[in-house]
Order: sequence, then structure tokens, then C-alpha cells
Amino acid sequence: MIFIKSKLPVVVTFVAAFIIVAQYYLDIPAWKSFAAELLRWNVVLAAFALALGIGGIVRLHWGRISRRDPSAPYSAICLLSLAVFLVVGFAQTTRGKTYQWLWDYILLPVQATSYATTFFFITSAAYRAFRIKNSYAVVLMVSAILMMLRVGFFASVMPFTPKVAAWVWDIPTTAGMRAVTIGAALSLVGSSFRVIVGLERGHLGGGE
Amino acid sequence: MNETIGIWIGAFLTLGLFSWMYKENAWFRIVENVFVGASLGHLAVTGYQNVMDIAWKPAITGKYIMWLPLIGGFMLFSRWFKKYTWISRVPMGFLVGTTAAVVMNGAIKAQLIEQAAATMMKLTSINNIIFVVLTIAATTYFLFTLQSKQTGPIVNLGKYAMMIAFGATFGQTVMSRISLFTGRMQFLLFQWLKLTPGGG
Amino acid sequence: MLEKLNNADIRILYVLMVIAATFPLLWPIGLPLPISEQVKASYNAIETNIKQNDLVFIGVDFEPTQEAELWPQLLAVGRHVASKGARIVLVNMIAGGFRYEERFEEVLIKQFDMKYGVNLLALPFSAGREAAFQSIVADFKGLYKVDLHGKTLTGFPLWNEIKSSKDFKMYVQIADAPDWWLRPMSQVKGLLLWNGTVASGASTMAPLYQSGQMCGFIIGMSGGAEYEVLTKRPGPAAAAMDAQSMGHALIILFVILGNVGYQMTRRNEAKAKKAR
Repeated sequence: MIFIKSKLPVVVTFVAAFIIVAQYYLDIPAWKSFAAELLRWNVVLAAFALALGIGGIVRLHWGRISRRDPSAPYSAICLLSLAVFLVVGFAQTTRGKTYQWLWDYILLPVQATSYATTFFFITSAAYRAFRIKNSYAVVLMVSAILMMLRVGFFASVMPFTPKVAAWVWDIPTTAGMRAVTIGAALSLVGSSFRVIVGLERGHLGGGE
Repeated sequence: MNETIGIWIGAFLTLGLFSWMYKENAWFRIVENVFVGASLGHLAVTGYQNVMDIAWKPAITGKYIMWLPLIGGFMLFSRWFKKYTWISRVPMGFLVGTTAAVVMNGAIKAQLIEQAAATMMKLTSINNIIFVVLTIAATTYFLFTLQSKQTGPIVNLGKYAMMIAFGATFGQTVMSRISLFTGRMQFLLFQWLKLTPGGG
Repeated sequence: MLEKLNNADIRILYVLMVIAATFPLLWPIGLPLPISEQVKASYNAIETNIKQNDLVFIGVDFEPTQEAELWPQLLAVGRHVASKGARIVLVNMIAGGFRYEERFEEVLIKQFDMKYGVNLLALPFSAGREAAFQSIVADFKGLYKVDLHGKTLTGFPLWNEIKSSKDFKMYVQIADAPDWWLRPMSQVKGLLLWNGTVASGASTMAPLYQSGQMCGFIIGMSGGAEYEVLTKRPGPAAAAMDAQSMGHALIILFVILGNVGYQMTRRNEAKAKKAR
């Protein structure tokens, strides 16, 4: 039982990952075909994992409603809008006209506007948070201002700024971001490897 | 369904979210919760469709091996019951293992090897020299175990390169946020209020 | 004066920004829009590489949160690909992208007289992102059984002509900083990769463009606007560039004002400390 509860998941993780990794190095059609099948299973399991996350949020809001929290009416609205989308979506799928109407006139405006509100946060940050305290901050600010001046009417009234900004983008920005990309890739490879060989087991959940 | 009613609902929801900028209010809270519920609902519906198209329909029409990921998917829901959480470990291990393998392979080739190869350019122009020096300097910054008096100036140069990169990112982010707001204003002015450029 | 500068009500700044970003939409300033070298090179990458009947993937991988930047890009670039006579397969790996895929399909059918199933196909959403792209690389036809509209794919002539992802000339991906797309898709030999992305994610993709892993790369609403002008079809992005510029001007002013107040406060504090 201990094997099934704690060792088997680690073995499954390793074997599945090994099959996917090895297909790059082995030119065996049957192996590649099986690896492709495993990737399709991943797509199916990812869809179930979405439902898992959604269930967690539903439990949270349901808890607030049953405890009659001050925010219970808002939780009820959240669950109501979830229910409307679920009922229409399961009945019609995303191909149905009613579902598309809900998406076009409810989901699209709220999602688009939620990100558009960051426009105000950036205003606040520009005025209150962007403080030039040292030489690094000066360099950061000059680079930021150059990027903003290289588009739109600034580019036509100050023709040298797009050229300077393009050089800053192509050389130091790309060089700096390349280092960040390489650093991020090393960390991705390291953490993926740790997961595959079983050194990281946080995703397997608590308990025995 | 009526487009006009839809546009008015869209405008109500848009202005509700923007009302938070004045102060927190009930209108904003209502719209915020509609946002959360609707987004989750859409995720659930698209996930369900995916499972139907890729696994369920093939499974009931002869491709019996697809029952394995379907059963694995249902096993994931045991996470909600503390006593039976262990049942979800095998499918979760499979999901995370395959994802980690895909990411690792892709990162090694596209982000490590190709990026390192692209840095090895001919030092025949001043731009190439500056580029290579700055890339090496910025990469040196990430070697936290090798900080010393000798590497200090190189690391400092790397920090400046990264500050330029982060400044450019900030400038681009400002552009991005202004674009998003402009997009919503185009909806409110031209679709809801039916104004035209020129103020008419 | 200094106190007013440091303690200004932030809502006044919000109102100024709203005015700056809104007025030019109604009363455009109308200054010319210069085209950057990067956008020109990206345009030429499609112009020179895509020929009549070439198979092209177009990835519609954005949500309403990125609509303002990426929908104009999709329209401008997608129309350019269609005008070259390419056969187009629309792909979607982001849950919120399916409506944009449907709308773009309508644009292609109405404006370019494309025949669905013959030179145009739209594939449904697939969860799993990078794993789903890896599936396209490993076994493209095995991943999809039905199209975006629920119809069986084997009923379409175009689907039956495609053997694998290697048959495709180019993958035009319109998405938010999609290194998760590039990692798997760069494994397909001979497939050219072209990306339109949001401005905030552009610096992540810049090294991948510089290394030659992508043949084309446009950024944000300004990239979309320049592409619209290049393809001689000004649209929503070009119309919004004046508002964009005014917004930038105000942000730069706020950064300067905020720092003037901060530096003056610091100087006064240092003077007061010295006096003590």
C-alpha cells in the first residue's frame, strides 16, 4: 500500500517523462507514436485539472454563503454567473448562439476591462513609485522613456528617437534579456529535472 | 439575441470596473464577481468540450485506451477528500511529469543551445562586440556562487545591461496598458455612445 | 507648492490620463506614422516566403484581456497572409481565443472569398498549452478529430491533403509572449516562425527574434498600426496611435514631476539635517 501511495506516483512521473524525453533521441516510430499518445492524455488530464481548480473556488464561495459572511451576496453573484455559463455551455457548447452572446457581451467586456484598469495603476506608479535614487534607476528611466518616444507622433516629430531606441532595443535590451532567458531556462531545466527524478514532490499533495 | 441590449450590458460592466478608480463600491464588487464566475464557467465549458472531443467520443467508439486518461482525470477529484488524496497522485504525477519533460526539452534547445549559439557572433562590428560583452556580463550576474573582486566590474556592467532591458520592458508595459484602455474607450465611444471621430 | 506636488490627489492624474487617452480618438491629430525597420522586415518575411497554396498555421492565442493589441495585429497580418493565396489553418490553444478565431474565419471568407474546408480550416481549442503544441509536432492529425464547429475533419479536402506539421511553410502566432509555443514548434524542420505579441511581453521574445529563431516579430498596438499602414488597410490600431502618444507624453511628465518633488524633498531634508 505504501508503494501505491508514495512510490508509484514517482515511478509514473519518471517513466512518462522518460518516454517523452527519449523520443527526441531515439528514431523508433513506435516509441514516437506512443509518446504522442501520452501527450494527448496530458491534454485530457489538463482539462480535468482545470475543473479541479474551479471546484476549489466554488467551495470557497459556497463556504461564504453558508456562513452568511458579509461578502455572501457577492459570492452568490459569482456562483450565479458561473452557473449560467455552465448550464448554457453544457447545453449548447461554445458553438451555440446563446453561449456566444454571453461571451461577447458579458465575458469579453469584463475580461478586457479588468486588464484595462492597470492603465490607472501604471499612472499611479509613474508618479509615486518610480523614484530615481541611483545610477541604475537613471538608466532604467532613460531606457523606458526612449521606448515610449519611439512610436506614434513622437517618432515623426523627433526622427532621431526611433533610431536611438531601435539601437537600445536591438543591442543592450536584447543582450540583457538574453541573459534573463538563459537564466530562466537553466532554472526551468533544473526544476523540471528535479520533478522528473522525484526530488520535488510538492505536486503530489500532502498526507501519507 | 439583441445586440443593443448586449452593448448596454457590456457598457454597464465596463463602467462598473472603472468605477473602482473613484472608490470601492457595490457596483464594482458585483461586476468583479460576475467576472470571476463567468471566467471560471468558460474555462469549465472549454475543458469539458476538450475532454469530449479528444477522449470521450473516441473511447466510446472503439479507442478503448482513452479510458485510461478519463479514469485518471476522475481520480484527480479525490484531492477534495483528505482521506483519499493519495488516489490523485498517480494521474497528477503523470500530468506534471509529461509537462516537465516537454518544457525541459524545449528549454534546452530553444532557450539554451540556440541562444548561446546566437551569442557566438563574428566580432566584426562594434555592435556585435557590445552585444557579446553585454550578454556575457549580464549572464555573469546570475552566477551567485562566483562573486569576487575580479568579477565585480563585469557583474556591474551586466546589471546596467539588465536595467536597460527592464527599463525597456517598463516602457513597453506602459504602451501595453494604454493600448488596453484605448481599446475599451473605443468600445464605449464608438459602439455604445455611437460617436464618430470628429465628435459627431 | 512642494507639498501640493507630493500630495496631489491621484484621481486628478487619472482624469488627466483619461482625457489624454480619449480626446485623440474623437479628434485625431493625424500626424504620419513612421514604419520601423523591424515591422518592415517582418512584413517582408511574409511577402517573400509565402507563395500561392503554401500551408500556413495562424495561431489565434489571445483572450479579451489582450484584444486591443492583438486583434488589430491578427486582422492586418492574417489579411496579408490570405492575400498571398496561402491555405490557412487556424489554431487555438488559449481558452478565450475561440471567438476571435470564429470572427477571423468570417473575415477571411467574406473578404478573400476563401472556401472553408478547401483552403481554410479552423481547429478547436486544446488544453495543455506546451504539451498540446508538442502534440502538434509529434502527431498533428492525431490531436484533432473535429473542427472548431464540431464537424468531423476527415470530411474536408484540405484536412485530407495535410500529412503532418512538416507540410506547413510558416506558423504565424498571435499571442502573449509565447515562448511556450516557440519551444516545441522550433523542432519542426523547415517551419518558419512569425510572432505578433503584446508590448509588455515583447522583451521576452526579443532574444528569440535576434537569434533568428523567428523570421518576423511585431509588438503591441504600435506594431499592429504600422502593419496596417504597410498593408494599406488602416484600422483600429492606426486610429488609436494618437491616443497612445498622448498617454506616453503624460506618463513621462508624471515621472518627471514625481521625481522633481521627490528630489526637492530630499534636498530640503538634507538642508534641515545640516542646519541641526
